[in-house]
Amino acid sequence: MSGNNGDIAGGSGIQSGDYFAELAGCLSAAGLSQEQVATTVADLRGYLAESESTDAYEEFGAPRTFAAGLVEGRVADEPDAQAETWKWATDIYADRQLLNRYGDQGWEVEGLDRLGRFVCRRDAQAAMRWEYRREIANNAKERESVAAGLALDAWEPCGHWLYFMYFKRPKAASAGPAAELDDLVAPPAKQLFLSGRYRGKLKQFAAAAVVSGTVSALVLSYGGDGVFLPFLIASVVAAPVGGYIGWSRMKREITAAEEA
Amino acid sequence: MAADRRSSWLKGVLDLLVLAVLTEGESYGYEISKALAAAGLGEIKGGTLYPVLNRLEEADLVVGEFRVAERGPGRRYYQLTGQGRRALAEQSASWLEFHTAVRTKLSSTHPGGAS
Repeated sequence: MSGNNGDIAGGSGIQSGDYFAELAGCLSAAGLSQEQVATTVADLRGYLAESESTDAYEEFGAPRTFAAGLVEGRVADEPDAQAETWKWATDIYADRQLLNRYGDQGWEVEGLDRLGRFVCRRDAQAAMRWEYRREIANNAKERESVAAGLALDAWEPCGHWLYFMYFKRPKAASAGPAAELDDLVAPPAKQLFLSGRYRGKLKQFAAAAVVSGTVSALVLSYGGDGVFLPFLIASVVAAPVGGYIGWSRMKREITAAEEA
Repeated sequence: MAADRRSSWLKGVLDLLVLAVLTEGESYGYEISKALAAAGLGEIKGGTLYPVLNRLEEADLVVGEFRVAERGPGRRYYQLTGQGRRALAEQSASWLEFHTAVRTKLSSTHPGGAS
């Protein structure tokens, strides 16, 4: 795999055989299979030979840093028995902040379940920091377009809910070796996080429901038989209109917050 | 200084340039590097190119296949995927729009440029 190439690496003074041996060690430690390591090193040896360079260090940089770039985003073939899982839910006003907070603790979002919870895993043996972002896409075509645009910067879709798309990427993509995670914080006990803003909106909604319920009861009790049908028609029309206005307003607020 | 600046410019667009090279057919690391140099983009080190190729492969924009060679250590060949073609078309348009804005602004302030 690492071979015995004894070429002296020019400026660095390191033999290229030693360089590739160290690189192979880094790739193995990062979880690549023997075959993947062997083919990667063979390909790089070929590159170096064709470029007529004798200095692998000068061509590829420090083995550890280069190996990190070569394995970024690659997923281990077999799930790790040491992996922890955690499902949690939040609202649209706190999601990004919480995703990034827990991403910093090594939690990787694998998707959203039917209840809208983030399904996360963390490999206790090889945890790394993750960063997240949220985008807006109204349909499948827009989702595909947004995903293709972000893929170039190593962002990978990790779930969508209504018209929100969530993306993840290893923090090493933006922070390099500084993104390594040494100590693991214990998994949070909570599974539901509601922001103050969301709780405020729930209170407003509850108050509106109480008022409209009371008014409806009074109208039906004291309005007589002639009021029932017009009231029913008005209710059938008002409910979807009110729902649409509320949804549009929330969507406008979120869009404005995304653009800010 | 000038080399640093070119390197910084290249960082933002190297993914697209690699995808563009692959529109001409499958290719491998060193050949891609040579094609970029021949296009006037300067020498791209393997340490810069290979992480980009890995990223493109992980994003399913290219697909790589290692082939054993009769002579030499073997090579990993990369091919553009349908998703890669679409990403290239969309991102190229965005880049060209940005390039036009920069060019227009710089030309308007350059003594010999457009007013």
